[in-house]
Amino acid sequence: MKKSLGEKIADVLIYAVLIIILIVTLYPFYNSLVLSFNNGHDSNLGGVYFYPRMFTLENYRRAMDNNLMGGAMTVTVARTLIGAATSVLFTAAVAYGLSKQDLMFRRTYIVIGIITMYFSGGIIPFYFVLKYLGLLDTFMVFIIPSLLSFWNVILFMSFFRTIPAPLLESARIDGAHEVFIFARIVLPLSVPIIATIALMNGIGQWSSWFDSQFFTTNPHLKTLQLILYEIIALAAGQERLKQQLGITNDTASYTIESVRYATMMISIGPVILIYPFIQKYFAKGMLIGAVKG
Amino acid sequence: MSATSPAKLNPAKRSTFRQGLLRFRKEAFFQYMALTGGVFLLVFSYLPMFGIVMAFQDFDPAKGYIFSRFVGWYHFWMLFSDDAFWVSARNSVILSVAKFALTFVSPIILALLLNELRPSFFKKFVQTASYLPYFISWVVIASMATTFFSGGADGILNPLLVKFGMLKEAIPFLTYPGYYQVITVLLDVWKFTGFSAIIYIAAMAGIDHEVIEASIVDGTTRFQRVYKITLPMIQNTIVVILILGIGSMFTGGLGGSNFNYGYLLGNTLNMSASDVMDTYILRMGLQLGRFSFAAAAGLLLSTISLILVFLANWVAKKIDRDEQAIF
Repeated sequence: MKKSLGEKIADVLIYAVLIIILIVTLYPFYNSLVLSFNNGHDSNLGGVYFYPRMFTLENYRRAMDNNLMGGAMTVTVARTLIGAATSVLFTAAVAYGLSKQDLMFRRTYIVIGIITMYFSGGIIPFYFVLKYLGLLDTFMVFIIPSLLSFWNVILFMSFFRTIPAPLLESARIDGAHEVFIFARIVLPLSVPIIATIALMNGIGQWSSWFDSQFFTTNPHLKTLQLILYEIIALAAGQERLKQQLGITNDTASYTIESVRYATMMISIGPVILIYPFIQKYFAKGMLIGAVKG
Repeated sequence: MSATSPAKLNPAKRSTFRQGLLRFRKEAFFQYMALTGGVFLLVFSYLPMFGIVMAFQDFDPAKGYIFSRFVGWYHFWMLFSDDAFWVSARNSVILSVAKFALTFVSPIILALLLNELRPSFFKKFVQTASYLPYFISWVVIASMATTFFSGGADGILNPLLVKFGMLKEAIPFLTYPGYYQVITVLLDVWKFTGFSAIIYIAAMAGIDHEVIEASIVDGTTRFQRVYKITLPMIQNTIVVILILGIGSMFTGGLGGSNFNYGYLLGNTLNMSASDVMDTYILRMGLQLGRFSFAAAAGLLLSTISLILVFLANWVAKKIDRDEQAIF
């Protein structure tokens, strides 16, 4: 079919808008990457947009030299792996229990769960629960409170509904133990939803700074994101200080700003590398959620 | 849960209790799983709810909930007479409404644009790239925003605007309350548009192609097809997302962008726009140690969220879409 002139103009406009969206989405990442490889003082002069004008690896060296960086990396990786694995298993188990249609008190359990989705005691009472449980300033404060969210329980329950009941029934007739059925039949069939929730929780763990900032004081429990935030705050402060003192030329090849870019790239590197492979799971999980609505 | 409180004397009740016990034993595996979840929620969701009682006390952590002095609505009156509270409440409302409106519309537009393209590498690439910001942490976004809107020569927006003569001299945008509001709303659009569009793209992919082809034969224009076919066909999806959105408009809470930008990008210069209820609560509570006062503000915030959920549910029922009501 031949396209009219109007259609062609519309096509061009659509492509143009999408290309602009693409640039706005990706350029900030690219620019940060470029700046992370550029001499910090040179960057301050401006004009570094597409490639490093004075290439250096010093920013990364400085970022890794940060006393707290090694610890922050360990804490962040540990909470991502442990947090994602434990929360997804716990959520799956709870949801599997609730997915038994004729479970005694099923409605009560679900109402108890749904209330937590829409009402919370707020951050201050929550803080005191953590305090009285002795979780403040421990690594476990990153793991335990985020073990279960009822939203995810509902996602799991709607997935479990798609597993054909006769399959489980026949295993029961063959005398399989419930634990066996759950671990060897249900979980392997639930890989898509397990992957989705594990990845969502993993990304959440990787990105978190709030609990590290407010629930811990031990510097060894700082996360990568918190370190980055502290560098941002420091850079802003130092910039003001330099202006006040009238310092214009430094001799080092890095600035706090340029170290910030390097730290930032270290923190988003893993996410950018894995997300193209995992995004199809997210898309699926999102749709499961939408079906439930 | 009533399993633990049987009526002891009534024989009939007693036998139901025994039956219940038997039934419990039969489904013990499932019961224990459900119960563990219940206990978890009891500790981490319900204990904080009971903890709200501190909003009505002069809570002293050393004395605990039982021995702290009860002061009734005192902290609420203090709260209402604090100007900073009203500023933060106003900011929360302005930012939430603006973000809600824009991040509701933007994914639909992106999905419509992508839907107009034939499957191609470009289409796939744009779609994949558009999710990326969703996976990026608040701190990194704050960091990139600092650079992008910086007033220095190393910024991105300012040198561009100056070069093309749209500005006489650079403006450090993030230090102005007005610009701060616009910027954080746009950052939300940037972060969420691609990911939220997934659902609409899937809904559009589900539209029967024959309908569209028939309409092409009938000589409809592109815009007619969008307004008369595509949008009506995904209307259900739009309504679901809208209703879910109203319900969680304020519950973004600490995971939400109001708080994150308020804390990460907030400074003394833009505070009149960046201080929101969440940052106010945290400052009063965890930083200044006015626990009861902050808990009172927190209770207000939770209550507003709850009212919005009921409102959304009421709207869902009103437009007679029972399956979309939450309860």
